[in-house]
Amino acid sequence: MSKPLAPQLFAILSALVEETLGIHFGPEDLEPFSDKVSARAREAGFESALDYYYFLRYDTAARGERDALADALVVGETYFFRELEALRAGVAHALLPAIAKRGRARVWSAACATGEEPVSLALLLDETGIRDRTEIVATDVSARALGKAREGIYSHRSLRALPPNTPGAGFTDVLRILADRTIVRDGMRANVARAVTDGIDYRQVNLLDDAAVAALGTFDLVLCRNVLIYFSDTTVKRVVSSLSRALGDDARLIIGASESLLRFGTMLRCEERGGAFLYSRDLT
Amino acid sequence: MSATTITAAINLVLSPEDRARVGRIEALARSGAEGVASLLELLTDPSWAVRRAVVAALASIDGAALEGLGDILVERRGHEGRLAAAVDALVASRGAVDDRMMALASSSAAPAVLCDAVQVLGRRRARQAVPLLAKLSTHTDDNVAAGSIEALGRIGGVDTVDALIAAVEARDFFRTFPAIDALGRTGDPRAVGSLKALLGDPLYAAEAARALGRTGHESAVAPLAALLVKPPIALVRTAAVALAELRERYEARFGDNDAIRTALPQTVERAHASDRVIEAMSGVAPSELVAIARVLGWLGDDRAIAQLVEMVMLDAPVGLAAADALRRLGAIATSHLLAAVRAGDSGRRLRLLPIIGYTAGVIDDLLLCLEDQEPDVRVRACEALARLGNPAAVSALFRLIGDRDGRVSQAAAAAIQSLGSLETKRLALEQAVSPDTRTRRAALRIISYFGYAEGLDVLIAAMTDDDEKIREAAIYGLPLVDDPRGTEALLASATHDAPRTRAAVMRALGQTTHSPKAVSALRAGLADEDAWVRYYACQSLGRLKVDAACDTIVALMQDASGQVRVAAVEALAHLIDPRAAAALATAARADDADMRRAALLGLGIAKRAESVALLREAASAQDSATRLVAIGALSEFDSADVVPTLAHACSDPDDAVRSAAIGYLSTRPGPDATNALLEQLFSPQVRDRALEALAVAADERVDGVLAALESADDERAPLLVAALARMRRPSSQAALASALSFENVHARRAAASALAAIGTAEARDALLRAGAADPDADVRRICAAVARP
Repeated sequence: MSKPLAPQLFAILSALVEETLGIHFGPEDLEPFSDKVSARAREAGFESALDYYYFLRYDTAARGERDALADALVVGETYFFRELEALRAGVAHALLPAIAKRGRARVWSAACATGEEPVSLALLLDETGIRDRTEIVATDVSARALGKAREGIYSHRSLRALPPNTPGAGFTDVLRILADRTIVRDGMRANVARAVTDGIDYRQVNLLDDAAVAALGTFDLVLCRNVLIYFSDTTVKRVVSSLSRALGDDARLIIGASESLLRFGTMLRCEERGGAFLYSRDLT
Repeated sequence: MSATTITAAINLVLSPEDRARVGRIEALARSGAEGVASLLELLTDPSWAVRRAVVAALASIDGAALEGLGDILVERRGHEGRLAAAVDALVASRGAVDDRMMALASSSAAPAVLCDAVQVLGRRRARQAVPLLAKLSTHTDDNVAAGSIEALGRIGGVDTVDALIAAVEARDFFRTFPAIDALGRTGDPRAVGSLKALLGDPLYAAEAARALGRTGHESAVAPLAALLVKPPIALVRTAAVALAELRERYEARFGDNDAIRTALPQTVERAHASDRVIEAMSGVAPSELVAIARVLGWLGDDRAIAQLVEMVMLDAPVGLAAADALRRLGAIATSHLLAAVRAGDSGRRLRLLPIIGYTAGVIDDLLLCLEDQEPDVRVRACEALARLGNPAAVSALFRLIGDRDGRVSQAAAAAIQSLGSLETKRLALEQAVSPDTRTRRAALRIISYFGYAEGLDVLIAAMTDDDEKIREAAIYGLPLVDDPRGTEALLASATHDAPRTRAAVMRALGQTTHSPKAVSALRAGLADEDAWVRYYACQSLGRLKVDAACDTIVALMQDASGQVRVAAVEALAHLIDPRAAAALATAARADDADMRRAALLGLGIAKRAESVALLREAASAQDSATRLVAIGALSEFDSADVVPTLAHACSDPDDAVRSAAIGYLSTRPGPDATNALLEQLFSPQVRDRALEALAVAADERVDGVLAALESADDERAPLLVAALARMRRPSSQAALASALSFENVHARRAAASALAAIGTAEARDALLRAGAADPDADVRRICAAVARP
């Protein structure tokens, strides 16, 4: 463990991280934050965290290092079929209607980390029979996480909601068969079939980068689950506003079960569908 | 499928009509007594928001509204909403409500009126009403009695204890039940006996156990521990949670010590208790599991440890509580932890390794973890080996300094530096010529860290390495090896083609002793085309205090690169040239936040008296980072203005600023700092931190706290006594004993209660000697409770 940063240094470094990556670090995060930032600073050749801060702040060559810092700081802990009922609600109330109307649908897994969510979604689309008519775009700020997603190799932590562990609600026999065929166990690890990972369009996008988000186009379903909890209120408002612009007319946004947008007074409407909360643009 | 549509914006926004009515209410409030009658009529307004506005308006009018509000309680009881609003307004009023309500409670015979009056007195925490409330707690009407007991509970304090004990011992459900909770919250040692007596009664046992936990008294441990080995199982869970709460409350009042942790295993058969506690875990909430983890840690037998090792895998906060319990157990848990690490997968190792190494243990199992496939596990294993302090691990750690994961390589090198060993020099010199770049780089850093003279040639040779990072590692090491050839080698590379190498040389020259050649190279570096070379040249010239470079450095405050501007400001702080001081003062008001903060930091380093005003101004800056830097710099000064500014910062909106301010006050000597910290005891936001801060340099603080205690009221006295109790020094305990001879009864009561809880032989003697003849009955009763075997 590194020595914790001085409060002043923590204040300016955490403010810079929030400004550039959106992730909020409070005083309770001092130790892990210090640990990760100090390790990155040393790796980048800086003996002092203050020198490292000035590098990130002023040096135009720091872009690559900002990405590396994002890799170190972003919490990408997730697993296959997390909060499956919400995914099912998204398929039923956003993707199926879009396919019925236009013959195709687009879904965006924003902040997909190492890809467990888009892979789960792909299997769900297979189960529903609409995989070939749905484009999956999956983005994350961390290049390292996206590298792992494209590689498709996962540790046992990602498999915790798959048999022989107890799967979550909504896990059907068909899904079990599809998962068995696609997510192949190899000791403590598992490999995802290339046909699935190759079918997902992985891209590196910072959710605070409005232009990069706009360049993705509009979607019928946007998944941004268990991400907003790492942002400050100001950043949540900014990100939600950006995500809202990516929603098509009848599109839905799904956030994590423990998250809510109600206190932000957004212009989004919220409907409860079978236990999941779906947000959509209020067109009235 | 049903669909419920909810509008996302559910702000408590007033309708235009309500907003207009609230405007009228505010106007009525401004008209004072004249508006009272109209306001009273508005207490039945159908809108909740409007009624809240009326309550606030009536409360603000003070005395003039009192009569009308009192009349509602007595004569206009027909409307529930109006009655509730009147009670709320009386509670919030700044008028002489207490006298009016006490008169009402003494004269009225109607139970409903009495209930409202005692509720107002309780919610206002009207201490002078305690004797009246104590009398009403035995009223024939259950509602009046229960309301009075609840009011006594809200008011709290030593003088409510007798009435609450009487209510508990009455064994009348409607009175006993609310009294149990209130009695526990008093934290009075006399509560324990009465509450303990209820544990055998199934009707009250659970509530009494919870209340025993709230007393925070060591004497409550034994009766709660006894519940751990008795049926029913639900009570085992309650007792475990109560024990954990007891420990927390004890720590809050008297500081961290082992009294509670050691008391539990002495009062119960540990293995049996552990089995029962583990049995009680089924289906409990995470908050209860946290308490159970703590209790298992105190029990500390094999079953408990095995269970804790499993619980470490649970999510926070349970996993963290289990890890903390295992860490506190120390050596007796080590063999279990090592076995679990040996047999566990990467996920388990990741959770367990941070707990290992705080006590001596064998390293073989940890060496296994250095081979783990997960980099995080390898990092944690390096850290654990460093903590264990066994130099036998060094050669294994050397195998990881070239790990492909940078964090592992760093952790291994850090562990090697921490462990030292006779082998380290040989291994580092060997690895410094390794074909692997990362290994070479780490080895050079280790040579530099230890300053091996034999490493000088290796470092000099590495300065011609093709790899830029190797050259940098060698450059950083040269000043650490005490040899003039090192400085010569640095100077020879000051004009190297690679900017990063030149920048590294500039930085390293700042670590050498002041020499004309080094200064000349650094001054040349100020004009380098690369910003980082200029940056480190500035820093080093400041560090070497080269005043001759002042003008050039001042000019660099306008450099095109931000980091150079900031480095120039930092460098100026170390110069004594008056132009440096003037430039710093200008920079302290710069638009660029980093320039401003660097200047403020510099003002703290330069410590010129005229900078205090500027720093005080910056302590109120808009951004919290600037405020933090300003108070940090200010704390370097001895000026009389410093303590008031730090005291003000203790109520800063940003928690980091508050914490830092308290930290600076804690290490600052003198009565002003003590008094400023004492004031913070009355701010709930920072109370705990202020208590901790007072315990720093405690011997010097004792007199200040004792002086404040001499005139403290009933609210302040327990806090001041807590500050003394948490210091845990002979001087603070002597101060507590001396407080028993104060004229101030509040001080004597609080001190007696604390001495009873501390329970040492000296504390007991002091109580028996001074307390038995005390003129105050409550102090005498506390002493009597302690005297009982």
